Amino acid sequence: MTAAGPSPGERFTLELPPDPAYVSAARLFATTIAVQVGVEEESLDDLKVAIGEACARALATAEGQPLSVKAERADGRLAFEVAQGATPPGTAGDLTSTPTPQELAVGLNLELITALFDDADVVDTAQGTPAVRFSVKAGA
Amino acid sequence: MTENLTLDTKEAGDWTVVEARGEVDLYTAPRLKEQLGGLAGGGRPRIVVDLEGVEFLDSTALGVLISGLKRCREAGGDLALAAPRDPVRKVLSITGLDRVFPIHDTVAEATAGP
Repeated sequence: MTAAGPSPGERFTLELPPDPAYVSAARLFATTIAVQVGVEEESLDDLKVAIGEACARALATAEGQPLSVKAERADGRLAFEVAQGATPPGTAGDLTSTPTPQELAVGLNLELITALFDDADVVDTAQGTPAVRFSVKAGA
Repeated sequence: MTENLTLDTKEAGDWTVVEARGEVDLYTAPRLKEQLGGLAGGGRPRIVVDLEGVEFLDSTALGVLISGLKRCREAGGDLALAAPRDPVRKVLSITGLDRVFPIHDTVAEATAGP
């Protein structure tokens, strides 16, 4: 097959309105790129979960900011970065009351991402804003 | 626009089977919440959520299932999950919720209980 995939170091960026209706598009974006750069099929479901959770957390912490998902292939890996807002979810760690489904979900977002991807972390980007970052092994 | 999630209900004795198909995420989960709340509050608090057709389920969906379970049990019933696919099972397992919900391989097994 001669059709070339994206060359190493290539970057992809998706920006969407900050609306839950668009999160499925972010998941599709991430899995499409992953397939193109040879990420193993068994990692795709984990990727969908992690991107979905990172976007959900972004919607909870960055009100009004666009959903922004970046992917970059480098050093044999495909790294994802999902922009987050500066407002930390206020309900994490509050065990005195029964959480609402929304509160529970925000608490679970990072737990799920870090369970699925060893290198997952919330980092400060060059722009000074937080982002959830994790990577998956790309194909040769 | 195509539906990301379809929900159908059918009765099986005391149980109501909610058959979900598609993706249950933060966008579609409110519809499942409404459905479960309506059943639990409307005298049908024994619910099986059939997950066989669910390709994707996120933490918002888990929250909805937990609040549904709580409402069902408060009303003297229960909420069971049936036939989750491997990716959904994995999410339930990571979050420890596989120990919270009764999970059955089939709907028939779920509704056969006492």
